[in-house]
Amino acid sequence: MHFKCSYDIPYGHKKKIWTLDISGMSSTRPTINKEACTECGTCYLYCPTGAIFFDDGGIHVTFDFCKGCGTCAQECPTTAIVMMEISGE
Amino acid sequence: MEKEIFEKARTVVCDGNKAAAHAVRLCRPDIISFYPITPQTPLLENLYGWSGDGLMDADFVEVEGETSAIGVVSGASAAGGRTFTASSGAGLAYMFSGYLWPSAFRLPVVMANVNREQSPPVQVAGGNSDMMSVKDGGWIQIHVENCQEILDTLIMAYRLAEDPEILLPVQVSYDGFVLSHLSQNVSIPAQKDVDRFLPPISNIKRPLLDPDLGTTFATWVRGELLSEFYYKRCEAIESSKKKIEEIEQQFHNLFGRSYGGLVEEYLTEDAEILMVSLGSQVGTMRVAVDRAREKGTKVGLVKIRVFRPFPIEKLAAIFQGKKAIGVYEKAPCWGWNRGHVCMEVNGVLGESGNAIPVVNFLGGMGSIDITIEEVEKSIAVTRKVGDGCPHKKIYWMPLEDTPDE
Repeated sequence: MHFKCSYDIPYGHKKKIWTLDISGMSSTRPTINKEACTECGTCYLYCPTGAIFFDDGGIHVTFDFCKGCGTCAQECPTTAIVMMEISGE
Repeated sequence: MEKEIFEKARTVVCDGNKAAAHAVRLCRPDIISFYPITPQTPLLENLYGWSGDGLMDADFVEVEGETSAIGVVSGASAAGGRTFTASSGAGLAYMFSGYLWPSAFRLPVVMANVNREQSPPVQVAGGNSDMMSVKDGGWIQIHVENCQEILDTLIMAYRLAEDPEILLPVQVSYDGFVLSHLSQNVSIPAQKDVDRFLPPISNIKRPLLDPDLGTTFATWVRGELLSEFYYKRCEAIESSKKKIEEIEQQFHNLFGRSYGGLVEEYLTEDAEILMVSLGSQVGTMRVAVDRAREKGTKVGLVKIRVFRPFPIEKLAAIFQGKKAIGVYEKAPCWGWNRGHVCMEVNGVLGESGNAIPVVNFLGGMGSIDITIEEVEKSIAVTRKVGDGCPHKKIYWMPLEDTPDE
């Protein structure tokens, strides 16, 4: 018998966790129109992967975690977010 | 009631739910979370009541359904706490997706299942179909015969689940209404004696959730690792057979009671035919076996106490040399045209190479009485089978006019 894992269960901590790279799976990305954005934080609350950040500089999207689901665009009260197709790369 | 009086050893007359509640109280759980469903509700009400009166120190998490209950309990166990939950029938079905977690992550959760017929068709009646429908959940499953055994087995269950070599969830099942709502003599041990038998959970070392290390119980695993996680889990479940017997010996040394470990035998040594069963009907079957013995039939009784892991080796040894086996049970196994226990007994005989005829009796479904006369009839049929008469493989006792005489 040969085992690759020293644990009896799938268990690990910060340095040894293998994370799934989601960003490569999406075909659309959100773009935020800064003039229409009122920084209400609705998109930040709704994002299922926590890809949207809300700080002094306003709303930012981190594309490491964005799946391209479009929930932020759907929920934005001022329709400041538009999902754009990614092409190339 | 004063707490000191409550924590002394005493003998009471109480029903199965109260006996289970006493056992849980004695084991000092940290978190209890469950959702009420008949016939398990009085168990919850007892625990809440004692906690409100200051006689018990557990934290309760009120949830809106069994899926949440098992989630709370799994999370609390992963964080290092001692937990308890309970369910029944349709509640167990609703719990099933979370029911698969404690076994996969080796969490020492203990739960009580108060056996009720699975829905649909919905009825508020006792039966074994709910506990049989979750037999593949990966838990250690023990079935008990009377109220005293409920209390003792729950205390032993915590000891078994939290053993560093085992770390598996344990389910203790007892028949709804027949045991949960009817009263029997129960001897409740003193709190200090149970404290000696069951050390606090923080003594053991196991993978835990730790915010500083950022640990995680991975929900997603690469396929190539799955075989080894499955293998390790199988080995742990297999090793619990020996551990159950060791723990029972220690329990017997301290409290004076034991139940035979994996399997309990009654008059099997010189028996020519055997009746096999599990759960509360075993009590009735003992009387029927005694009566049949008086009439000259050499019959023995085998009570399967631990259903998972199935006691293959023990049963193979007991079955050796017998002329026929009658399996009396309550839940049909869809697709096999037999009951669950009969299917597994067939497996034991197949593996051990014993060609002994097996006849299956299904009765007691939907809380109808399993009478002594009905069991005597089934013993008579099993005796005929042992003498070589042709027979049906399965008899549905409530529906048969008369079994072949």
